[in-house]
Amino acid sequence: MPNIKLQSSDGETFEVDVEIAKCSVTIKTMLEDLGMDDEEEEVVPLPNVNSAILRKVIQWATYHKDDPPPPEDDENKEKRTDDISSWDADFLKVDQGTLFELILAANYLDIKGLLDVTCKTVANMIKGKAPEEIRKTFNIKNDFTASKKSRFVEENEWCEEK
Amino acid sequence: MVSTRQMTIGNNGSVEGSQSPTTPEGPAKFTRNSALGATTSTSYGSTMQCSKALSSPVQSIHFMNLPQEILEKIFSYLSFKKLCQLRLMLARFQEIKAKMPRRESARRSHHLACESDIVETLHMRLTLLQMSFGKHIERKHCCFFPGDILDEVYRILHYIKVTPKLDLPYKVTDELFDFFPRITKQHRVEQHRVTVYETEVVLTPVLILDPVLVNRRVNPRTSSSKYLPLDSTSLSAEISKDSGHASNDELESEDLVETIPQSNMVLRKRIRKIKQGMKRYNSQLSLLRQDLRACRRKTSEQQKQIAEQQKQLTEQQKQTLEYATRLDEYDKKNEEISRKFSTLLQELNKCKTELQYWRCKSPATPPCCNHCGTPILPQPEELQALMNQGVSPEGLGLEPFSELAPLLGINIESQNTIEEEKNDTTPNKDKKPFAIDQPSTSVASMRSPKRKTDEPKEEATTKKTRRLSKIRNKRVKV
Repeated sequence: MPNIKLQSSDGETFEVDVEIAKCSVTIKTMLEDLGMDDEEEEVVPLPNVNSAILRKVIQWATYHKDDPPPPEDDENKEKRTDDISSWDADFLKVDQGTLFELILAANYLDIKGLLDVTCKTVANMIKGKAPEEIRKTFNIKNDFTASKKSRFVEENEWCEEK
Repeated sequence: MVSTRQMTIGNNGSVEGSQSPTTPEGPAKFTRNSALGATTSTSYGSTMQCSKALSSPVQSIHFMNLPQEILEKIFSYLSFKKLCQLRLMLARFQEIKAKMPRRESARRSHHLACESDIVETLHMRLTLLQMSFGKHIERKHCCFFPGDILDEVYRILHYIKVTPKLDLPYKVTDELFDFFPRITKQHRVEQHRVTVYETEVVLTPVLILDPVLVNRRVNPRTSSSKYLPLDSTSLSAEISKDSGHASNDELESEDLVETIPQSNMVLRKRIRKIKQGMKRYNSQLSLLRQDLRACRRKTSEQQKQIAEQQKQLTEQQKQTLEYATRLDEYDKKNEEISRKFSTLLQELNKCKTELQYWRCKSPATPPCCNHCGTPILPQPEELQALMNQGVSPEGLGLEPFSELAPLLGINIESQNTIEEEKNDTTPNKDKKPFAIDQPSTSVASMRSPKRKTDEPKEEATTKKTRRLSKIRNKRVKV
């Protein structure tokens, strides 16, 4: 199988199977547009991804290389967050920073499956938590004035009562 | 801050160690930390570019530093309720509210529009039911809505909850629409029969149901437990209706009095509606009639016109026929005229030949012998005859007999004899020698008797020929 070399932002190179690298739509279109030969030892620089994240991304892509292409987003369909596979859940048991970086890398490399699963994980972190808890988990400062807050509390009355 | 960072490092390290043992851990960790340290600045792109420059490990990438599109994607996995709660977290999250569909058309395309439709129809139906039943519930005529309706409502609510993707809301609520009037009707009929229900439970149903409808995540157990007694009571009430039917006959009339005005009102409303409809239809009908009349008039006028035109046509045909016959007649006349002309021409030709002949023979042009060219003089006998008739030869343009004699070469003897003959008046004797002497003029002598007879005619014919010549000249001119 032909390989391709991916270089992370910190200069580390990873030799990856082309088919695995093509999980990323960005790399796929790049290869298609540039028509790179297999023999060439050219390195694809990925300045927005560091080696740790790239390694994880490659790991995820290697595991999911045989997956069918993910379905298109349907705006009119309510999205589910509880359909994360156990492997993915285990894979994403990382700190928030890594998770967010994975999200950014998935976004940059245009890997829909990875982006979906990471976003779902974040959404699950938000779900079932009170605002104050969420603030704590994500370390968000409260920038509300008292008057504004009261107004929004009023507006949100319908969803507060249970 | 620090604790989280430590946690992340530890966590990450463990993950990496477990899942990718072949890769060196050191640089990965370092780079990640350095990158994470950079993410404290505002935008991610810039942090990645200057990640190597910043070496001090600081706080990991912040949730709020994620790009907007990723935040949106994350929030798209959350329910609306949760999003509303999230609004309370940050002023920045207020943008979420701005993304909510404002226009009706946008709301239509929203994936919860169908559900909202169904819930709204349910709500409307229930409020209508409350309007119709509320009074009776207050008066304790009945305990609550019929249980069938509530069952149906719960069935729909459960359906909404269970089915992941709803479409065609009317399909779901269709049954309910059929259901409601039937139920209410049945109930009214029963009301006529039954007077007072022995019920204590009076509930304001819609007020209870409302929050249930709005929060579509109803716990079916709690709700069913809430309303089951109502159903049972209504059922018991129905049973009691049947049992108490006979005993409460006396009160039935009173109830009828109460219920009649209601039904009357309904009937009146219906009648009014029907009347309005009738009026509308009548006006439309009258318009249609007018149109029809106008059309009829037009058609009759057109038929008249057609008849007139046909008449005209027939007349014209008759006229053409007449003209044709006239033309034929004219043709015949023409033919006759042409025939007559041809006969006339023939006659004229005859006349011409005659004239030519007579001209040759006329005394004005002394006749010549055809052979010798010598002028032929009239015979002395002829002259004599003329003389006898009292016509002088001078008058005819002829020379006197005596002068003619030498010219003719007739001997004097003969002349004398002629004179004698004149005196004797014995022409028979003289004729013979004349005939013997002048055999050359036999032709002329042969014709002589004719001549004598034709002489008066001759004049007439000359006159005629003159006229004809005049006519001819005229024709030529024409």
